[in-house]
Amino acid sequence: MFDEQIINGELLYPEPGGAPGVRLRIRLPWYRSLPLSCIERVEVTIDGEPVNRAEVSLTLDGLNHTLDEAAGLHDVWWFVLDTADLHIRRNKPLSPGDHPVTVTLGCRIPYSATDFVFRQVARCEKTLTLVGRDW
Amino acid sequence: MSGEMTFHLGVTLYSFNHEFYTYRYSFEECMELVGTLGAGQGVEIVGPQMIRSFPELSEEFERRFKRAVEKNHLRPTAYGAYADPQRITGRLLTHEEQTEYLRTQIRSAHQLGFPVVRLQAVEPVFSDLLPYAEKLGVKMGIEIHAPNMIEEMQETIERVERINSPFLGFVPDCGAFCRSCARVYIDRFHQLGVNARVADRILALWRERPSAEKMASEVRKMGGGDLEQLMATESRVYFGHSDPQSLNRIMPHIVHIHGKFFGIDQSGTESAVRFPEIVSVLKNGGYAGSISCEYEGHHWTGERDVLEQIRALQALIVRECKASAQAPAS
Repeated sequence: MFDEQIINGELLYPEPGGAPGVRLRIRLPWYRSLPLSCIERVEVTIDGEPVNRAEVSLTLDGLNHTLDEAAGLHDVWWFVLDTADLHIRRNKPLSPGDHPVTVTLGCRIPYSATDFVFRQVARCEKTLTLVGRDW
Repeated sequence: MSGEMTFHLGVTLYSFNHEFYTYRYSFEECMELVGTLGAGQGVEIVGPQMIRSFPELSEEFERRFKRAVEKNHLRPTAYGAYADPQRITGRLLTHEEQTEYLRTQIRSAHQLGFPVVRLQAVEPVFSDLLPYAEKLGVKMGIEIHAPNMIEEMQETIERVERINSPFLGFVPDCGAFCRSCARVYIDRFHQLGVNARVADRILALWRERPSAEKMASEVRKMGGGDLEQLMATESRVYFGHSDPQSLNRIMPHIVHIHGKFFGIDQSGTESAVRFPEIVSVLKNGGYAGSISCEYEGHHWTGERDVLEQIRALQALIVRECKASAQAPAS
């Protein structure tokens, strides 16, 4: 049930401050809260182009984390009803209007007391509309 | 034996997962729905689903929870806790970290008025946590969930028997006792376009209980891809092969039960879980705790009236209690 839910809303937002990035809202692909340390994969494509992992960061409760930082945050919980902002840094601005976007989120579900790792992966494809400032 | 139920019925709010996740029902609305089943209805929550401050308990949630319990005349039954041994990237929790993490959750359960905390079989449960649970009067119940089977848990059962404390026992999940895979699961995979030949093979293989590796390789050999592999994995982790009679092996140590079910049709039959037999075994075994109805069809569809499904399961349980009273004692 999570695949179609993980991109929240229909909009891409321009980043404030004039940097040519965008952000979108995402949901946790699981039925209960997980710490950010369990968010193992965040993969994004915009207009079919994959985004480099280093250009992606997450904002939860007002604090921004790179994906590498998130891996170390086992006491920062992503509450199941909350959206996180997914930021994508870009070299060139994105044109206003519609853009096909895919997001793949992979979580480690930390149940097991052995080496076995259960992973939940959700993938969502949506056309989002860039709103706000005219680039 | 009379047709009276020896145990109490309730609901886990996890049943409303789809409606809760999609913002259709709030926590308070879920509690109200459970309240419509009648005064004294049991209620169970999954800690990190309902509590924003998890693993800690905020005063705000404590207040909201207690208000909703009172307003809807509910009875807190079990708190779903998590050991999460892999919470830290790259290593397992240490014994001390594991103990502290669960101690916090046992304390939350106690403050909310839950007599039972559902958890998993990690080491501190058998040692350091026991005096704490006893002090707070909270029973720790190790969940038994598919693909695990009572029949194959001899070591853990013996450990619990040796400790022989009313504060350490088991929470069997009824999904461990299936006669087949659930209809809603099969339908969903067909809707997603699963290869029908491979799907039929998975359902047939399920009956033979192959290992995860054997199942995966069979599916691969037939040309199955990610979707078929997911269907194979789900068949193992949702639909267990235990015999309901195996409940007798742990009967004195059952502290709570998850009445897992996937979908009840118009004839009142659950499509996978062996409820008639489960109810009869529990009744004849004198089980006197709670059963939380746990609807899990939401994993494959959001288009069911969850409350109606729960009503149907509770009616089935009451009916089977009466029927087992009329049947000769086994």
